[in-house]
Amino acid sequence: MTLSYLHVDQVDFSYSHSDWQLEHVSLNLSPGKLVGIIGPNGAGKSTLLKISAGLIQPSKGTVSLHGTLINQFSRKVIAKSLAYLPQQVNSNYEYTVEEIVSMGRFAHLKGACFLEKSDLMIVQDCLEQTQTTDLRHRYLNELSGGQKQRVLLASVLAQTPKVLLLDEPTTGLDMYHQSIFFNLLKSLQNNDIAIGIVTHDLNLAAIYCDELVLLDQGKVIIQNKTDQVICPEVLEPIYQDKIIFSQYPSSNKFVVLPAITENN
Amino acid sequence: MRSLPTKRHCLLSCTKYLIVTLLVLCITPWIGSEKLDAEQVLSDLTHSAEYHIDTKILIDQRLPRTILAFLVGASLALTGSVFQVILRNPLATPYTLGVTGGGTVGAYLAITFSSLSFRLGPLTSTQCFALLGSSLTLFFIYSLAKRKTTTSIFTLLLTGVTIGIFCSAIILLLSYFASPNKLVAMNRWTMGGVDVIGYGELSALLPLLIPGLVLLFMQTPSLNHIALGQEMAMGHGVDVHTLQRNVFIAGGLTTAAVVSLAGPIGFVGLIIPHIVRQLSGFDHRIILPSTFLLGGAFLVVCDTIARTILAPTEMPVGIITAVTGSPFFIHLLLKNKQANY
Repeated sequence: MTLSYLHVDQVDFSYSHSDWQLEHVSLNLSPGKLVGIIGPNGAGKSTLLKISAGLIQPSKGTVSLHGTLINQFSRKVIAKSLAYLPQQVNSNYEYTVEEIVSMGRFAHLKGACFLEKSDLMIVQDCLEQTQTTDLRHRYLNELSGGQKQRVLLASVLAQTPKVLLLDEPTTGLDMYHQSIFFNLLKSLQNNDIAIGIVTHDLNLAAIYCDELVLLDQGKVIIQNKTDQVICPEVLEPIYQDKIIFSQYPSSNKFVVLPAITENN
Repeated sequence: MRSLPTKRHCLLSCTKYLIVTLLVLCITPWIGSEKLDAEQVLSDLTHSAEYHIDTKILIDQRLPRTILAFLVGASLALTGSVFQVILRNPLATPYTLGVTGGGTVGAYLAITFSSLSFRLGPLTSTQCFALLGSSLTLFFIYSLAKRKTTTSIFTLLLTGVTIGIFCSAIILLLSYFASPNKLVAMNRWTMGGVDVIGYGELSALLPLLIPGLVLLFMQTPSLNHIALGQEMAMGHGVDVHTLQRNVFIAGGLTTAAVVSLAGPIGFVGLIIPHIVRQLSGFDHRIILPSTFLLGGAFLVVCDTIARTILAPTEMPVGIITAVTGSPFFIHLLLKNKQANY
């Protein structure tokens, strides 16, 4: 059995003034694995990711990073091995791409956080890895959605994390940029990084993820290998008759399409 | 093309502001309604045991006033720049959290009930009550916004604005019942000013001001991250809740100290951070020291104008800060129209 880098064990969570709650949810992220967290709107995907990143505290259950409870670490120590990319990143301030990526080194720096030579090399590497070197002098706010997401990925990669948590990083991107982004994530798997990604797109999850966690109404329905999750028996009870299944051209994998109802 | 800021680059950027500040601090104490004989003063300082009247004016009146103006301007500008990034609001000022309202109510109460008049060391009862009012407001707002593990920025802002409105009502009430001479004193206090009598008041300010300023400067490395949003900052390793708490307490203490001594001097805390960002970019390792220096220098210049333009009488410095700062800021905005600022 592979040692998991991040282990979320039976967590419960609820927001104040709301009946909705996350119940007994568990998640394992192991090195070299890309795990997708899928489910309909309001299933609790982003909440689970925030709990996993230690951003919010569960009311019950535990989150362990490399075998130690995450709440025993300071945020800086967590950031040295766990990187989290939120759904939306906006700023009124004009930072260049290079500045944004270099901010990822924060947890590794002391004092006023000026970069050493080794940090500059890591920043350079991350820019190259995400194909954003040419953009390095441009401002984040000037970039297209796809470019911006790659830059933000470079920024969290500069943390040199062992666990990477991404919250819907390809929302709003066209297919070309979605494909670039996920292929980039696949290339990171060789570095023994454990990746957890929240996505609405069942097809991207079906094609790129090794394992999937399916959530619905705050509960885990199934956590298994992708082909065991993207199948009619599992998804139809959740998405009902709103989806139909087809075959991916070059493999036996299922892909999911929106169903055309009679009204259409 | 902007390259990554190095220690040298940051030092060089801040040095420009430091030179301007030193020039301002060296020149302005010599300017005033009373013309000072520089030769006489210098010879007094180097040789004489008995000081000439010019030397006394410089050392006992102009210097403490210049230092106070610098500290007030610097503190307001620094607090403003930190609040603007923490609250993610370009209109935030040191007064956004309502601390000034409490301070003003305190000062008005001291003026209204003159039977309460006393001196606590170098501080007058008005200054003491202003400090008490600001501190109580700060404590009240913080206890409302504090959660188990976080501080709610939303509650902080709403409470601050509400307290500000509530204080305005009390201020109006006190003004309504005040006698004409007290009304003049109240109005004068509201306009703000740095006309101190000596070093005593300055030293009374420091126990609150120094810890506040040090705590604000200590947050510098985290502020660039918070500009990208709380979640991104936490992901990068910033302890956002501690940062927010420290900024609120430090900014509140600094503002309370400044308001109690100089009254609510507007504009500096809003405009100076924007001017520095336009001139020197968005890296807080440059913004914070530069804002501190430029804010201080700006208020010293404004105070010099305020005490000389209608000499021998004085104009409230708040009028000068607004009149001189606004056109310059609009000029910068128009000049940088292309920069998407």
